[in-house]
Amino acid sequence: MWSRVCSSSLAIVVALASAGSFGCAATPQDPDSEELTEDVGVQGEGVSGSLPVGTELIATGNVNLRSSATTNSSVLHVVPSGSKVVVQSAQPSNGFYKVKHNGTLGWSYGQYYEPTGGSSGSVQNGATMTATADVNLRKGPGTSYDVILVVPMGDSVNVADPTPQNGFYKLTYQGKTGWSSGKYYSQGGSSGGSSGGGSSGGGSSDPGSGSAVIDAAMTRAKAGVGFSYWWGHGRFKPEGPTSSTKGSCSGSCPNCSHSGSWGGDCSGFVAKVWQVPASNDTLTEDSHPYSTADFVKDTSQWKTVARDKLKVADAMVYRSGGSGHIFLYSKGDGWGSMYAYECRGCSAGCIAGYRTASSSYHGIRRQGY
Amino acid sequence: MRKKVTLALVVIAVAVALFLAFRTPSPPQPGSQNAAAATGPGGRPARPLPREKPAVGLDGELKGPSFSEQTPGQKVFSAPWGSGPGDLGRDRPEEGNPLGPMSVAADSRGRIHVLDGVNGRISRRDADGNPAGSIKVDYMEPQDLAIGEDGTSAVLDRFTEKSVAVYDESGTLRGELPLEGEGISDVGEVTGVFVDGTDVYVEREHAQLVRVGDTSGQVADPQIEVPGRPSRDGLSWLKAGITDAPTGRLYVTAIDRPTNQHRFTRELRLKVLVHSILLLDSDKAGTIYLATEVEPSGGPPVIVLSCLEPLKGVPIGGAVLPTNTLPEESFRDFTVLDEGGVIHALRTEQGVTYTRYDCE
Repeated sequence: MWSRVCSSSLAIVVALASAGSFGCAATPQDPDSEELTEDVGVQGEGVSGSLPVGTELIATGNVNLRSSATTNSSVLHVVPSGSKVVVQSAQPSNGFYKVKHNGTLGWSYGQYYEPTGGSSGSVQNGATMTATADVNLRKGPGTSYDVILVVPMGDSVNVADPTPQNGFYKLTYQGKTGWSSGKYYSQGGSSGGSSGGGSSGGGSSDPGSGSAVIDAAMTRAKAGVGFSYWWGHGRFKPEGPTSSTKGSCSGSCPNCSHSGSWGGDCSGFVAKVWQVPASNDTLTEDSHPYSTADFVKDTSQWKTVARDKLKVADAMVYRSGGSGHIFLYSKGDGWGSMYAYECRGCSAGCIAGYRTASSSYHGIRRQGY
Repeated sequence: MRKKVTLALVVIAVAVALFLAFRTPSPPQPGSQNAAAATGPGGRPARPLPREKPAVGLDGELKGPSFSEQTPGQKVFSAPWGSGPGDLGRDRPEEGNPLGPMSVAADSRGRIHVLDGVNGRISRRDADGNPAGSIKVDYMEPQDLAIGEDGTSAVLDRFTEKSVAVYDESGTLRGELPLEGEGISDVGEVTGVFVDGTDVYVEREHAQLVRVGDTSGQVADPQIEVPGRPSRDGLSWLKAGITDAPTGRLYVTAIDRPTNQHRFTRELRLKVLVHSILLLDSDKAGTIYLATEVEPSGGPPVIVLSCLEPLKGVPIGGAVLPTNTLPEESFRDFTVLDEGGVIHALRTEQGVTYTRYDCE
């Protein structure tokens, strides 16, 4: 009898304790979160040697971002694996590169990074590829194989086998044949060059688009910064404004007053930067061919693009109930904000800076960009 | 025999008592931080501190908030569009940037300050949402607001004045702190204004902060930089960022202020498309608040609010809120209360509603 009572009591205690554990948690590591520490051991080829400023790298493991180029310096934060950083200084120090990650400048160990982009998939046998960074030529298609030599950044190699293995290509360089990671090569025989511009951070300079047409558009956009808002117009000087040419705006548009003969409103600015229609190709000639009522609809000159696919020189537009706005996108930041070029309004004029945009806006891309 | 049965019943009673004790949060002890938080400003009882973790399901998986179920909040006040004393201003030009209240901040008394730039003022409400006056702001297009412990208002204007205006409690201008110097090569990269003690900072690219002056209106010389946003318990500098938007990977970093040593970088995995981070701040107890706009597959965007404890950044609760969909630009739609909880501004065609949410 007594043993039954004790067993029952124990069972009740166990049952209640178990029920309690479903209602109150201890302090376990949340499987939906993880405290990051620098990974032990390097995951990929790493980077070494000089890299062009603006080169975008991707972290192959969790890696410390430090205040200076030594493991004795303080950790600013841990760069999560898969993150992109942008090289800020061409020369490494002690194997560390000066990089910017989501707005924070620091030093990170090169062996934890690889270039973004690069080559993948089958290529033509005998084709020429160019190293975008110093890269190992190995005895086999993987980092476990011995290094034969290092192909310097900017040097060309010839493809010996068109089909890569494990992301590595069989290449010939200076009479030696071996294997190199495709991530470190661009196709073609051009010398030097990075594998891509920065897409996060990099100060006020725009990321390199790799397109002369887009770069020219952004040059026009930058020229407009500092001019006054001029409702119903679009006219800018390629050298930018001066105190005597920037003009001024007062009041509430369209019933606003403008002085001077340069400036534009939001749609006049974008049309001028995009050179739409094609005849609108002179920055210094005043024109206002389209309003946001036009830009908000797809045409043969521009098409909707998904917000998560925005790239430099795309635009964001909204239109509702007779009101609208449009701005040019340059880059995003680590919070998802957008660095925009826009003629905002009478008080602010034409400016460049980070902003947000609600789901009222959608992205559009000029044809040919 | 009777004694043995009695003993068994006592054991059962003790077991039940223990179960109930572990199930229910302990009441705050006098003098503890919890006690201080138990009663908020204005005598309004504060919500109890969140449990360390949401309940564990029978499958062993930790359960966070469901994105399809929004957390009920507590409305503090609403303001219609307009220019009257209790209104907030809105401007939608035909061909220009639409503007509404650009920022909101709460002070140590629980008052809510709204940067009503269209009406050229900072509109104040008390902790219960009742009108509490306003102060005039001279800037044409102010964008962000921070409130100091003494009621100082710091107002950021990046594009017209390119400076931070410092007003005292009564609205008298104390000084203007220019956005210039080595740490601010591009005013467009400034992403917020902050007040910590008597120091006035502007943030650069959601990363480092640059001290531009103090609450007396004195310009800083030289400028110094700090590695992140100051936590309100005085113990950390905080940063956050998106690692991979499509998979919803984010990180939060805390730097220990007294030693400048890295305390933690914690990755959060929301497993949903992330649009943007909207809030990174803390309350007086050091709890970290991170708000993220996400877009669940097949659903409309919502805001996920995550609360993290300050030592390791372990998530301790969350909430799901509606997101703003109107075109009016804003700098800051959230403010964290010293006692804990957040106030969120939601704009509709009728006006703006400010609602309190606590992490659950």
